[in-house]
Formats: sequence, C-alpha cells, structure tokens
Amino acid sequence: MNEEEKLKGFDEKLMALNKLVATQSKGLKLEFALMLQNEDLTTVQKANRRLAKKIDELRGKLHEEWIESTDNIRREIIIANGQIEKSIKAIEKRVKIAENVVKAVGYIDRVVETASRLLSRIS
Amino acid sequence: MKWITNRHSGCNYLVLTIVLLLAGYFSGCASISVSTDSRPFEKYRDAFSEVQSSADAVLAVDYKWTYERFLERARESDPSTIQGLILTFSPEDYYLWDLSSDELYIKVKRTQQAFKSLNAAFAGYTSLLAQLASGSLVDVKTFDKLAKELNDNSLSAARALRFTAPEKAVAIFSIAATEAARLYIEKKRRDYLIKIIAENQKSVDLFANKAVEIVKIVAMDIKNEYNNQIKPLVARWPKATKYSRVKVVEDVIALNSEVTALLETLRSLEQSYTLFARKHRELGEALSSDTVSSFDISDLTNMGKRLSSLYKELT
Repeated sequence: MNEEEKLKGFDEKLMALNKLVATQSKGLKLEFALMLQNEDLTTVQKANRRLAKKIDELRGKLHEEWIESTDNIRREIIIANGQIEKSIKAIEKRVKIAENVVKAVGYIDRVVETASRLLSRIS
Repeated sequence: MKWITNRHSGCNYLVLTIVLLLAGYFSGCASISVSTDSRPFEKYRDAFSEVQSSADAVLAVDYKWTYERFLERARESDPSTIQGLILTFSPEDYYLWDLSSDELYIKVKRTQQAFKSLNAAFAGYTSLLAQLASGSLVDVKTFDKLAKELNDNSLSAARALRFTAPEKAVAIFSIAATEAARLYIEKKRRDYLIKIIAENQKSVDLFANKAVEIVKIVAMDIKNEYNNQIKPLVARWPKATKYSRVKVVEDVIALNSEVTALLETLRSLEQSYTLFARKHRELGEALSSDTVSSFDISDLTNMGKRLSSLYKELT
C-alpha cells in the first residue's frame, strides 16, 4: 500500500468514526427524550452501549495506527535538524577562516615590520 | 597600483598580494547584494511555538477525560479495569516489564507523547532554520571589525616600510576584501537554506499530514468524551429539584463552552499545520527569487495569535 492509499484508508476510518460519534449523540438525545417521557429505555440503552464500545475500539485502533506511522517522519525531521546543524557549523567555520586570514595578514605585517627595522639598522 | 609608491617594492607587493588573495578567496559572489532576512524564519519559529502549546493543551484534555472515564468504570466495579493494570515481568530480562491492559487512556497517553515528540522535532527544525538565517551567524559587525583590523595591519606594514600609501585607499581596499568575504559566506548561507528547504519539503508535508490526522482523531475523542460526560449530567434532570435544575443547566453550559472551545482550537490547529507546510515551500521560493525580505508571513502569525488566545481560554 503506497502513502496515498494509506492516507485514504485512514481518512475513511476517520470519517466512519465521525459518523459513529454523531450517531452516538443522536442516540443519547433519544435516550434522554424517552427518559423524560418515562418510557422504557432498555433497548435504546443497549444499542447506545454497543455503539459506545464500538467507538472506543475504533478510537483505540486509530491511535495505534497513528503512533506506528509517526516513527519514520520523526526520524526524517531529526535527520533534517542534523543537516541544518552541519550547515551552521560550516558557516561558522567560514567566518572563522575570514578571521584567521585577517590574523595571518597581521602576523605577516609584524614580521615585515621587524624585518624592516632590522634592515634599517643594517643600512 | 598608483596608490602605493614604495622604496621596498618586494615587501610592498607581499602585503598587497595577501590583501588581494583575501579578496580573491572570498570573491565570486557579487550577485548577492543583501543579507538574508531572518525575520520570516523567526516568525515561522515563533508561530510554531504557539501551535505546539495549543496542541499540548488539547491533547492533555483528551487524556484527562479519557482517563477519568476509565476511573469512572473502576468506580462502577468493572473488573477489567484492575485486571489489566497488574504488571508482569520478564524471566529473561532484569528490567523488562509488560502491561497487559490495552485501555484507551493508555493509547491516548502514548499518542500524546508521540505527538509531543513529533512537534518537538519540528520545533527544533524551525528553530535551527531561524538560527541558520540569523543575522548573528554572519554578523556585519564582525566583518566591520575584520575590515578595521585588516586596514590597521596593512597600514602598519606600510608605515614600517615607509611606504607613501594613502590611508583612504588602503581602507577602501580592506573594506572591499572583507565585504567580499561576507558576501561569499552570505551566499553560502542562502544556498544552504534553499537546499535544506527543498530537500525537506516532502518531510514537512508528511509531518503536516500526520499532524492533521491526529488533530482529527482528537476532535473525535473530544466529541465522544463529551457524549460520555453529557449523559450523566442530563440524567440528573428528572430527579432534580427546582434549584438543582439550575445547577444541571449551568454544568451543561460549562461543558458545552469547553467542548466548543476545544473544537475551535482543533480546527485552527488543522489549518495551522497545513499552512506551515505551504509557507515552508513558499519560504524556499522566496529565498530563490531573493524576495524573502518582502515575504508575507502574517497569516501564520495571526493564526499563532489566535491559537494563543484560544489556548489561554483552555488553560
């Protein structure tokens, strides 16, 4: 199953769960209406309990599936973070090189300065 | 070479050559004229931080309600609640344990942890992007300081050799050399950002999809838990007295307010995650076309503000 099919399958399950939850709220309203009219609630309550159990099962499955599917993407993001850290270090290194080149010019200048003083003493 | 006349031409050319090498080493990047604007990246990071807090808050409510329902079942003497809670230990491993319970609240807890860790990874990504785009990484001040040092070094050498080098000309050259270095590094930085964003777009899209999926699951959870909570609340009505009926109504209204705020937050979260993936792609495009300074990220910032106020309502 490719990524697109997986997403579609997951979406279908989500939509099914949404319908079950919507039905559950209607069932509860019916139960409450019957309760106010002092009607027998047994059948509706049984059906509502069955529905509640089914919803819990489907919720549990969706949670499990979701957790399983996140490992790869989390790893990919962590790899990306390592890639950025490397780039930051590379930039810092280049700034350091520029600083070192300027320092090197300074060292050479000092050598030139010393050599120049020595030369003037000799001449 | 008119700007330096010398009596010791060999030494003079040495200093000049080094300065030229410095300029040459870092040159070849004159096409980029400005620094990378880090503001859109910082706003991107900050907006995600709001999303993260709201997501944590909603997931915490989901777990709390699911766990409370589990405890309610225990109160009603459901034996499965306690049976599944007894840990079993491995005879082969000193530290391994197992929990046979597959109660929903445990799954919600695992989801909460997984989502937290996924969001944390992406928050790290947004923060590192901002760091890579940050002004402090290729600080203009550092390069101004370098230009001054290079200028001082070149002048001191010139003085030692008793050259008649015009100070202004040496200064211009020092600035040009260090500016070339800065631009070179700036270009490298922009190239890295473009490459990172392009290479990770697929992962960011997938991250957004996964986040939207869990946001939708949590919306179902919240609605389901509402149904479970409203039932005992309204069941109090028939036996309630004139005064306690008001309390029933108030409790139902309070629960409704909480649930509608949660659903509103979840809707905003879904929109935010989708927007984050889109803005990530657009940031990359803006960098490539050198328009990142005028890049509009206000929709993401507004979404972050909205989530922040919804979050305050929730907590």
